[in-house]
Amino acid sequence: MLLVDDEEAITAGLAPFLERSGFEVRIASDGQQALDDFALWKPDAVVCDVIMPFIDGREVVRQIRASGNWTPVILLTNVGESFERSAALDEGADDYLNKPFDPQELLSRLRAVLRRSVAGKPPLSAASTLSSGHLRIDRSARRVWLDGDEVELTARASLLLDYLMSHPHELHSRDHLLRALWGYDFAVNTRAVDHRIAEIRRVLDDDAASPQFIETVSGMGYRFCGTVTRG
Amino acid sequence: MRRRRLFIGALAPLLAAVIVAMVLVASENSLALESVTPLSVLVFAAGGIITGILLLAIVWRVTVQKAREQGAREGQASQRQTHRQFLARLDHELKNPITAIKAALSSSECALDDPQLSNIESQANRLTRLVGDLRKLAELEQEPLEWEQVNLEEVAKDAVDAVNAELAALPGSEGRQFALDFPRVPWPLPPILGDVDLLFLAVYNLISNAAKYSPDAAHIVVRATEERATVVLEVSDTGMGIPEEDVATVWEELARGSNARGTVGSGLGLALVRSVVARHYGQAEIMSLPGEGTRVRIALPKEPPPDARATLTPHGR
Repeated sequence: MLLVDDEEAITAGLAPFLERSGFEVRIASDGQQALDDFALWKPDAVVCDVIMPFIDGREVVRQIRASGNWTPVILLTNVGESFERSAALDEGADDYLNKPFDPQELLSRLRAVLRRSVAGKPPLSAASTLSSGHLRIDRSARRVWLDGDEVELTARASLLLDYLMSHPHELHSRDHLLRALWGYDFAVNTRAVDHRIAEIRRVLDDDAASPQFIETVSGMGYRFCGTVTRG
Repeated sequence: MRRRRLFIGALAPLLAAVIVAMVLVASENSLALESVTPLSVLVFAAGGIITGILLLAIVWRVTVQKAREQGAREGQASQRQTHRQFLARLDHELKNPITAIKAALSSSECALDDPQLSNIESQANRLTRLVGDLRKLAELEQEPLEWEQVNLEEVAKDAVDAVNAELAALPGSEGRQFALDFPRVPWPLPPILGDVDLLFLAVYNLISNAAKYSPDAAHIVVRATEERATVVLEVSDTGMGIPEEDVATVWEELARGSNARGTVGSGLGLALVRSVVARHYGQAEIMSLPGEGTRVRIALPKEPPPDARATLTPHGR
């Protein structure tokens, strides 16, 4: 895998950790080097910082995707950027993590995107509409339909549903969801996540005991358990 | 400087008149003006001139006052802007080193149960939270709120539960005596229009502070009352209190009561509360007696003022 960050202190710390976890790691320290290494070395996955001089992380993803390549990319975004603002989905990144992140979290995201990726095919996170059973969401317009009828979710609940649905069958801790969607991690505000999950279940009429869509993983977090398809 | 010039300018006609009069007296000139204008017209003209002068003076004063207020407002706004930028920059500059520390820890050959390493890790996590809070504080002033009907009683209950759970996790803690006092008769507290996540953050911080700065088994009361257009929430404790000279400044970022140094805290809690309350067009105040306890009172309008509603999200109601 290719690890891209202009801060040497970060790559020097992360590379041995990822290597110990079984990855072969190559390091690039700016966007241009990342694109060169990517073309030359064809990694299975890319972890890339967003804020870098000259060519930033978003541009790296754009250029990789422009050549029709769907190698999984995780962006390391600036803290405070929520899912919506990071606009990572528009550029076709598979997932993203806010700095400062827990290296374990990076590892689990990395394994998840690798598991999910199908060679040569864009990830669900790059699709504009997603369906699961009789549920359909339009991601760019932030609209949700159930059995063909449009339903109303608050902005945060629809972001949460979007995120869970574009990363199905993955366990997301409350903390991760909070950081990813709200862009912050106050010590105890994971209640915010629980409340939005309750709202989604109410609106989608999803029974927590035998869920069609969102499953509670006791003491751990949430997982979208339905089968998700594009369109 | 400007004022002195204006003053001299105003005196100039009088000075000119005095000089002319002295010249006339010195030259023993006996020129005289005989008026054929009726006295009534003269009186009318004099009144008109005096009123004109007075009106001009008033207009001038109002203009000066307005300019001064405008300047003060702009000064405050630019000060807040600079402050926000500073917080955002601080946050940005801190995130990379913290990420690097966490990365280095994860790569360390030593086991994480080494007390030194676990200390580094917990301090890195503490820094993460501090940085997060600082940034949130900077963002709070601008980010769009998600307005919806909020039941403050539920929010307060959840916040008490959260603080209780934290106290229970502390070794040797006996907890606190929490009491929720919400109206039942003649009707329960009405919901208010607000951002539920931010309101939780504010209420949680108040209750957590009350618990933090009061001894084991102390009494903490969360009381709510309804007024005509507002809902008032008070969090009172029988804790250590805040010295009188600190009461005015505890709302500032990183400010802490001088008697609170021994307690772990970021000094950002009340600043967050203040920002959340301000974004809801409410007011917050603190009353405290050292050694007796503290009461923080936040008054929140049931609905934001009409001109703020233009920015409500479609899910607002």
